Formats: sequence, C-alpha cells, structure tokens
Amino acid sequence: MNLDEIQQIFFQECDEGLAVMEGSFAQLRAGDHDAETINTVFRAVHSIKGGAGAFGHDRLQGYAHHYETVLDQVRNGQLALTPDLLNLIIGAFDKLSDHVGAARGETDTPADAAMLERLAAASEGRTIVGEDDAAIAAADAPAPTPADDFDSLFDLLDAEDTGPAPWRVVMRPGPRAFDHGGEPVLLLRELAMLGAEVIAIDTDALPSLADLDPDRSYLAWTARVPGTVDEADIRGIFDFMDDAFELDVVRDHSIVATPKVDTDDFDALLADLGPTPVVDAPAPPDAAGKPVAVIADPVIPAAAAPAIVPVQTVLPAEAAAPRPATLPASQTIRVDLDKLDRLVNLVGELVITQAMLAQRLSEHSLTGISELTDLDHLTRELQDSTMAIRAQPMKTVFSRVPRIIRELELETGKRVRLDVEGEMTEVDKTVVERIGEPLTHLIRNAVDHGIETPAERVAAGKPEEGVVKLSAAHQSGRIVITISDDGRGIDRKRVREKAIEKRIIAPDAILSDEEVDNLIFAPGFSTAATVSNISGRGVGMDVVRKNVQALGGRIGIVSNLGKGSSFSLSLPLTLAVLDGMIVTVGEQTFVIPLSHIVESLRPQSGEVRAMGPDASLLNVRGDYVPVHRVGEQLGIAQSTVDPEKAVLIVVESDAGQAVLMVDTIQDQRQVVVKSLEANYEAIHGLAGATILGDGRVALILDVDALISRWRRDGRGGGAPQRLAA
Amino acid sequence: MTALPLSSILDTAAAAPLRSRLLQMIERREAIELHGSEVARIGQACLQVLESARVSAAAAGLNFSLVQPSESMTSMLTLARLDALLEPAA
Repeated sequence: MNLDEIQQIFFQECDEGLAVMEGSFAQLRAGDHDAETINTVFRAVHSIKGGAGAFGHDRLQGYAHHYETVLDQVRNGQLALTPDLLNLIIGAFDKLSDHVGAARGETDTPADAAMLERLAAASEGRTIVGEDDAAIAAADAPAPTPADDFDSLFDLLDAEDTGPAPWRVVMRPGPRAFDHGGEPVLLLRELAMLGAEVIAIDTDALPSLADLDPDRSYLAWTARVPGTVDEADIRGIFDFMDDAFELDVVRDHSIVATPKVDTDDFDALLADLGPTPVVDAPAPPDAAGKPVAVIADPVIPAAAAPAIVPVQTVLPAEAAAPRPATLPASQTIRVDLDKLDRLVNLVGELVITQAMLAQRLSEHSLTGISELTDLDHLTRELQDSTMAIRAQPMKTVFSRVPRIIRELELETGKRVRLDVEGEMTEVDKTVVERIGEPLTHLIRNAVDHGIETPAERVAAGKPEEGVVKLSAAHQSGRIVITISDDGRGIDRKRVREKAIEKRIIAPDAILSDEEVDNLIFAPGFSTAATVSNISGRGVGMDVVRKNVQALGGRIGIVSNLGKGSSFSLSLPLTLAVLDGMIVTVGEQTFVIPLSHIVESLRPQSGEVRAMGPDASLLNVRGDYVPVHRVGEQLGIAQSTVDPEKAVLIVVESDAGQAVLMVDTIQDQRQVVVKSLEANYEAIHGLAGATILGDGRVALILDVDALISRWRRDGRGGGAPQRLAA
Repeated sequence: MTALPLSSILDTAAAAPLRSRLLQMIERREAIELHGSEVARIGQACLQVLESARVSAAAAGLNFSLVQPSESMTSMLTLARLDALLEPAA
C-alpha cells in the first residue's frame, strides 16, 4: 500500500468522522448534551487533525487544532455549551468539512480567519460575534504596529507551548514478530496516522548479512507523538502484539516542542517588522531533520534543539506504564473496492453458470435433484451476501443534508427543521454515490419552493419553523427515499399555466392531478419567478428525474396545496442485478427491466387501432398509447407483425407511456447485468446484456432511450399522442 | 554491472531468497545495485535484509546502491528512517 492509498484511507476516515459529528450535532441540538456526545465530536476532530498532520495538510491540521481546543474546553466543563456556542461549533464544523475538501484537492482552501477568531473568542470566554461581523472587524482594524506584531508573535508561540509534552514511543517487535504473517512496520504507518514522527531507528541488534536470520526481527524504533493524542489511542495500535513485543510510551519533557509557526503568518509578521535585525543563522535540524527557522534574540529565545534519545536499550517492562484494558477488536476491515467488484463479478458468473448447469440437466430430464436445489439456494445466498458487502447505509448521503439545510436557512431567512428517519437503511454503494446529487436538489427544492417564509407560515396558521422530513426504507426489494415538507405544496393551477406558457402542454390538454404534478419534471420547466441560486443551479427537476431513472428508479409526487409535498424515490438496491421480463422477438431474446413495465396483455380484437400506414395505438383504459413493434424496429426477421397474435407490454418511459410489441414472454426473473461498455462497446438503446441459463446472450433494452429515439424518428407508434377516448 | 530487479512484493517470505542472493553477491565481491521501481510493498524482514546488506557491503568495501526506488518503497524507507538505503553509492 503506498502513501497515496493510505491517504485515501485517511480521507475516508475524515468522511466517517464528519458524518459521526453531524449525527452528534443532531443530538446536541435536541438538547442531549451528555459527555459522550461531546467526546465523540472531540475525538472525530482530533483524529482528523492527527491524520492531517501526518500527511502534511497544515491548514487543515491548524484549523482542526483551534476547533479541537474549544471542544476540549467544552468536554472538560471549562466552557458551558450555550446555544450560541453550539451554533459556533456547528458552523466551525462546516468550515472543517471545507478544509477536508481542500486537502483532498476538491475545493480551494476556505477563508477561515473569521471563524478562527470566533473560536478564539469562545475559547477565551469573550463574546462570540457573527462571522461577518468578525470579518468586517478584521478588515476595518487599523494596521498593527510593530509592537502589536511582537505580541502576536509571542502569543502565537505561547499558544503552541501550552500543549502537553509529546509522547515518546519506543517499539521493539519481539524476535518472532513475523510469525503468523506479522508485519511490524505497518504499526509505524498507524502511528503516523496519529500524527507521529519516527525519529530514530535502532539497528544495533542487526547482524551482518551472513548471520542474519530472515525470519527474525532485529529492529526497533522511537517515535514522537503529539502530546494531545490519548495514550490509549497509542497503545491501542499495539494491542494485538505478542508478549515479546516491547513498548514504551512516556511523556517526554526532554523533547521541547519546537514552536510551530505557520510560515505565512511568520513571513507576514517579519515583513511588518521592517528593519528589526534578523539573523540568518544556520538552521539546526529538528527531530525530523527538517530545518527550523531561528530568529535572533530578543524576538524569540532560541529554541533548544529537541533531544533525540537514541534507542540503545529498551526500558524494563515494569518501568512501562500499565497497559490499559484491551480495546474491543474492530468489527470492520477496509477492503479495496476493486477486490470487492471482482468478487461481485465472480459471483455473478457463478450464478450464470449455475443457471446453465440447471438448464443443461433439465434438457436431459435430470430435474428434482435435491443437491441441485441446494446449490441454487446457496448460490443465491452467496449472491445476496456478496451484494450486502457493497451495501452502505444511506447515512453516508443523509449526513450531508443538515449542512445544506443550514446554508439554505442562511440564504433564504427561512427556518427549517430536518427530521431524518431510516438513515441506516442500506443500499448498494453505487446507488449511494449517485443519489447524492438528485437528493440534494430535491432538498433545495423543498426549502426554496416548498417551505414558506416565517411570516407566510404564521399568516397561514403554521409554526414559524418549517419541517423537511427525509426518510429511507426498504419496500418490496427496493429502497424508497422520501423527501417531504410541510410547505405550500404544488400550485397545480400555476404549474398548468406555466406549462402552457412554455408550450409543454396544449392549452386544452386534459391532465390528471398526478400528470400536472409531473410537469415539474419536464425539461425547461420552472415556476420560480426569478432563478435563485438555490434550486436554480443549472440542474432542473428534469435532470433529477433523469438521474434517478438512470439508476433504475422512479419518482412519485404527492402534494396538497397549502399542506406540503412529498417526493418518493424508489430505487433498486443494486445495479448489478436486475429484475427483468425475458421476452422473445423472432429468434432473439431480450430483457425488459421490470421497473418500466406497467402491465402486459394479449389484445382483444379492436383494442389496437391502426393510425396511418405504419402506426397503431392501443386503447389502455381509455387512453390511446402508441404501439412500437420491437421486431420491426430493431430489424429482427420473423417477428410477429399482427398485434392480436403478439404480446403487448405497456411501459412507462421518459416520454410517457408506450407499448412494446413482442412475440412471447418467456419468464420473469432476476438477471446478472453485464456491461456492454466493458465487454464490447456502448450501444444506444441497450442498457447491457445478460447470459441466460442456456448460455445465450440476451440484450437488456434501454426502454427510455429506445422510445425517445423511435418517437423522435417518428417510427413505430408515430408521434406521441394522447387522445381522450 | 546489471542492476538486480527487486520483486514487487517484498514481504517476509521474500526475505530469505533476497538475503541469499545478496549474500552471494557479497561473497563474489560484486557491487550491489538494486532496481526498486517495481516494489509495491516492502515489509520489515526485507528492510532489515537490505540494511544489513548495505552495511555488510560497505564493510567488504563494495558499492551498494538502490536505483529508481518506487514511491511506495521510498515512502516506507523514509518512514522507517532507513533513508541511508536511498543514498547514492559513494
């Protein structure tokens, strides 16, 4: 594992830490101020700080340090957690998330001076001013005099000096440390994750190559760990080492913490100091061998060179601090996603092979073999279990929502309470990753268009604070995510007027309430008088629906004028398998995703009406829906041409309802999706392929793409039409 | 002199064959030049074989050098304070 990979793990841990913090804030906001909740937030920031230091993300580390200071004071009871302080802590969290994003290279480094000032004020018990006020105050403040600068410089140094003495950790793996696959150097990596710096290696016991036993451990290391790290966290790394592993963890007051000054601050201060004599003395190395800036007296007393204690002997075991009780073993391991995907793929192949075996045996009348049934069950169970490994809780996505709501509250002046349910509901990682954007937009939409201003709400007899409810639940093998609000609801009259104005519907179109509601997903539709920077960020509701459909999902709307709206996203639990209807067209077999299918029927005489030479329409309970002859349109020979001898499958697509005409239905079952892009090349109108039990490849139809193209080309059912029967 | 390419995985199992090969070179009084560009993983057992080989080669008056170490190898050598292995041959 290289450093980049380890850094990625650090970023994953940052995400987990931030998610945990967000969860804790919900508890704190609800008035649950117990010590463990505060501790949880503190630990998360502390871990981020440690990792940031190990990977050289100085700005993140510095910010986390100041944040952590305030949290530490809260957990120690030095600061009371007032509502103002809680707001500050939550605001500081948002900035911390930005810093993590910047460390990742996703965003620019955030401006944090105002927030740091607010944190400092809180820490010192001063009045907490608003961020803007602080920023303005900072901007308006007179330029500091050199004397001020000296004070600032000393303050900066003093602040660093007040921390606890660093830990000195000496680790000497036992001679048999490599037995059973032991790899002691990985412990150095883990120490580094805590912000440790390995300062010395002891090679005294290492023999010449001729005398070296390659299975025996000879080395020992000394590391320096920041004093703010809990001793238990350090010792926890070594919990599973054998008895021969020698470990010494002591506060080392002989290691004088090198004053660590942000070089930018330093340079700025030095520049302001002007002609103050500064001696460019050769920089003595610090413990890590890195040069340290030294300024002549009286600016800073020369820092004593840190005492590096070479590892000559290991302290006797009894001198070591008592080991804390063994921490519970971690119940999770990190697995590279590629390995997991390979496993999922292999299990998919196994499922296909098992189906082929069953079919081959049945061809020889070898059915009813109990072992075969067992194999079938085991294979399915294996597939479900493998898919479960990829499953992630929706919490990963939901945890970002509180921040979005907070930002929206600030931008709109509205007051919104977020209620979250079912955040531990699990769904495939791919779905989790791709649902974030549509979900964010729906949340923005709910606050921007749904929730009214406090004044409007009071006038409407509602509480000032609006409620946005976010929930996730498993229903019938799918996940249903619901975003509801108690706002103004969809004004159907206005939506209809807008749709007519935008020429989305004809002025005399007859639409049900549901159809009117769905007009908001039409491309180019927006009822907002002015495009706000909240929901009008270049992503329309049409894109939201498209993204959801790309995941094999559907969006449903329930809305009551004046009472609120609810958007339900129904999504498959995984994209690796798909429920499909296996159909025959001519000699070919296709799969139609079940999520598109409304019903299938064999038409009675007169139910299908010809319209012109090529097109025909099916009367579906009063609505005429265009019929597309799949065989004809895909150029498949020997397909049925008479609708009354064929099977008609009514499907829901982007372009509305349509009918697909196929020869027969073979089966309805779950199929393993094989990517065409990965195995052949992307083909418009096909969502992928699968291998059937008889070994033949069946193509999976991309219903939306096919129907849109056919309609655009004016083929099959002709132009889209809905006629009142 | 041909550089000896190091395996991509230098775990504990790789330590004994690596030691034998390096010992052979020292006994034949060959300068040691190792090529580390393929190393994806290196553990303590191989780290100490390399360090011991470096010291043994120096004691025998032989050159020891590691050329083009991979990023992961460099990172591990630096972390373990075995930077001396990264220094060019005198």
